[in-house]
This record gives sequence, structure tokens and C-alpha cells, in this order.
Amino acid sequence: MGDSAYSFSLTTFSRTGKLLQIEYALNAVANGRTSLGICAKDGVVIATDKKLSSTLVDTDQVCKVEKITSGSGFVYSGVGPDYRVLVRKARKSSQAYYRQYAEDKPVSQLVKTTAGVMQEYTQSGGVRPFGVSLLVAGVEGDGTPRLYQVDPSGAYFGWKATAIGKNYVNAKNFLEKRYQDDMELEDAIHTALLTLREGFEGEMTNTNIEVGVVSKSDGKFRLLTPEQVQDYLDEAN
Amino acid sequence: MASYLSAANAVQARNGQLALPIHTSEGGAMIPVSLGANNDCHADDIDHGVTRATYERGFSPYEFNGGTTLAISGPDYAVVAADTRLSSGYEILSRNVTKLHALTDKCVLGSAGCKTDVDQLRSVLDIKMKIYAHNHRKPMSTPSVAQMLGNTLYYKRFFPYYAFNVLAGVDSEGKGAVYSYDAIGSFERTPFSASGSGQSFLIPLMDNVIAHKNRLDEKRDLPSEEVVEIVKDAFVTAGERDIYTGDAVEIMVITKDGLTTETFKLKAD
Repeated sequence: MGDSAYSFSLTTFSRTGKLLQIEYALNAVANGRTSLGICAKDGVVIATDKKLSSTLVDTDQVCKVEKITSGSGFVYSGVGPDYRVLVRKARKSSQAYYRQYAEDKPVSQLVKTTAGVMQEYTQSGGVRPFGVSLLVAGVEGDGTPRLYQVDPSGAYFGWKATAIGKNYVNAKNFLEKRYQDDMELEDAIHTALLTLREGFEGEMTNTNIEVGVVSKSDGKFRLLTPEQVQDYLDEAN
Repeated sequence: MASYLSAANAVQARNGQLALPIHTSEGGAMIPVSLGANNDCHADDIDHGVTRATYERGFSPYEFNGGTTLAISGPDYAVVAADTRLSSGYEILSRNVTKLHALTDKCVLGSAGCKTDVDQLRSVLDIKMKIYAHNHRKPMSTPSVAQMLGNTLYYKRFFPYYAFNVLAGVDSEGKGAVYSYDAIGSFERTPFSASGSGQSFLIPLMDNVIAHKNRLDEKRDLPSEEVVEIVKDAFVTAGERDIYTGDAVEIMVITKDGLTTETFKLKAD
């Protein structure tokens, strides 16, 4: 890597001590479609706004909530193609982990590895930071549900509930009012949908949002089907 | 030799000396000869093929330091045992060296083979386990240790660790688990496992007593105390016929509550 014409980092400190490329990456995230997550006492829910540029776009083919291991999943706000790279790397590292330890990679380890990758891209030669923030949902080996946010800088945070992307400030305020420590997963899913609807442009239907859920009971991450989403939407109305 | 001609064909060069093979010995024993005047051959010139084995024309990185290990799993315990003799050729280097190594308080590795490779393998495993414990804030579970050991051995597929391993412990549900390995990392969870110089004496005995093969009486779950007595008898048996097994056997019993050790003396011959 030393010989290459790109052996210098593109992310360098400004005089005031900021890494401007990371700030700009966070701007890209703040312009992305809203995503949020809520950690209940018996599970985690993550959801995102899948509204697309034209009604002609086939929404079935767009996947924003992705399963990484059988017990964990990602959602993002920001630059979609950058997200796909992270999903692929995370899945590969989870399989390598399984090969080493005959066990599913725990969420905490998944977050550390992914955050490590994102940090690398702020210091390596010739690359730019990822233009996404991730929300990672999963259940740990001992049954504890966890929600993490990972930023373009590689910083990661555990959250009880959070939102990223456009309108995240209002969404977080809404969540702060509604969140309770002993919330159940069903309530969390309701609250997530209500929060998403708050800042939604136009009508929210079961095809222009995506919801992923992992429950403590079976520890499996799954995407809600449009029918299931519709049931929750009907209840919310 | 039938004739002078066949004798001449049979002469070989060994360590800068001409020698004739003794066809009755197992290890390629040779009588040194000189095709000349002074042909005085003494009994202590005979190379029995043990101290100077046939591959030793070059340098061999491997040496067999002897010993036997045995592990047996039960419904809520695992027993692992290994003799404490360290040998090299026909010589005993020590009567009191352990072959067992606790990797976590629920998992013990027993290894026979080349001691230096065994020590190095243990070092490598200890390091990997520390790093895991730092990252995960908890010790590695026994099935994960088993997988990791298999991978670690395969990394050296083309210059293997000369270590014959047996891994014993309790899994996350508290059930006894025993894993058998070959030198290059092929492994399997088994009800019992024996490896090392005395394995051929132990395995048939275990097949009958533990796996209950070729018996007409009803199979029953054995408590750990009974299995420990069986293990002692087994090592006495192996020690009778295997020259590399003896001196003492170290027996560890692993349950979800921890580890206990016992040392049982064997014949020193």
C-alpha cells in the first residue's frame, strides 16, 4: 500500500481539529430517509421509510432492512450503495466467525467489527468515509435485546431508542416522550410506526416502509411481511 | 545370507559405516561390518533401530515423547486423564510432567505427542482465548474451543503440530462433551476418546465398558466416581503393555461447578 499513488488519507484534520470528511458524511446521512429503532424488554424493532423517487419504482426489489446473522439485522440512512458494501462485509465476517467458533457472531462483536471497518475508511489511503449511519438490532447470547447506532466515523452507541436521517430530531423527541423501560415488543412496534408516520411525507402504507423485528423468545431476526405491517397499521389507525 | 553375492547386495551405508540389516528386528536394526581385515563386531554395536531410526540421516523436526490420554463424557460431567511420563526413545526424561491443560474452568485439553509442539499449541490457544475473553467479556464455550482448536491445527496443515489431542469439558447446557482430534484438525464430538501410545489398549476396553458394546447386560448411566475407577484400571492395563505409559495418571473431573484433580500412581517400569 505504501507504493501506491493513493497512499495518503483523504480525510485529514482541519485547523480546528475537525475531520471535515466525516462531518460531510454525517450531512449525507442527515439527508437520507428516516430510520429508527426501539429496544423493548423482550425484543428490538427497526424500521425505515422506503419512499422512492417515482411511483414507477418496483419497491419489492428495494431492501433496506437486511438480516446479517440469524439473530441480527441492519437498517441505514444515507447512501444506499455504501450500505450494501457494509452489509456484504458484515455477513462475510459473521460466517468467518461461525467457522472459527461454531457459534453465531454476537451483536456486540458484529457492531465492533463493522465500526472498525468504517473507521478504517476514514484513515486509509485513497478512500472516503461511508455515507451511512447504521442501526443494528439483535439479541445477545444471554437473551438481552440490543440496539446500536454506528456512524461514518466508526463511533458506535447503544440506544434504548433512536432515529437517524431526515427529521431525526423530531423523531427522537417523539420517542423520548413515548419510550418506557419496560416496553414490550408489540408496543415498541406500534410506537415505531407512529413515530415514522409523524414525519412521513404523504400516506404511509405497507409498501413504502420496511420493518425488521427480533424477539427474545426465539432470537431470530425477521422482516415483517407487508400483510403483517398492514395489520399493525390498521391497529394504529 | 544364502551366498556372498546376496550378502554384498544387502550391505547398506548407515551413518558413514557399512552395515547389514537384521531381518528379524522391527525397527531396521543393523550389524556394522567392514569389508576388510578387522571385522570385530560387538553386541553393543548393534543399532536396534530405536535410538537411531531410519529417517535420521537428515534432521527431523519431530520426536515422539510418549504418553497416553483418555477422556470420557457423562450426562453432566466429563472425565479426562493422562499419564505423567515423558520419554525420548528408550529413556524416561521425567516421571512427573502433566499432559493436561485447563483452557477454561469448564474445558481441559489433553495432548500426547511431541512435547514442544504440544506446549506451543497450548500457548497459541491460550492467547486466542484471552483475546476472546477480552472482546466478549466472557470465557469461550466448550464447543467454540473445539472448533477453534480444529482450525488452529489446520492452519499448520503443511507442517503439522505433532500433537494428538483430546478435548473434554461441559457444554453450555452442562452436559459432558468430549472431542477427538487428529494432528491436522479433523475433529468430532464423541462419547469417549483416547490418543497417544496406549490408545490401542484403551479404546477396545472403552468400547466394551463405556459404549457397552458386545455386552448382554443392560446399559446404565455411570456416575463420575465409577468412571474414575474405570479410568484407573484402564491406565494400569495400558501401562502393563505400553512402555511409554506409566509412573502416574492424572485424572480430572469437569462439571458445571468446576474442576477436580486426582493423581493415581502406576508402575514405574
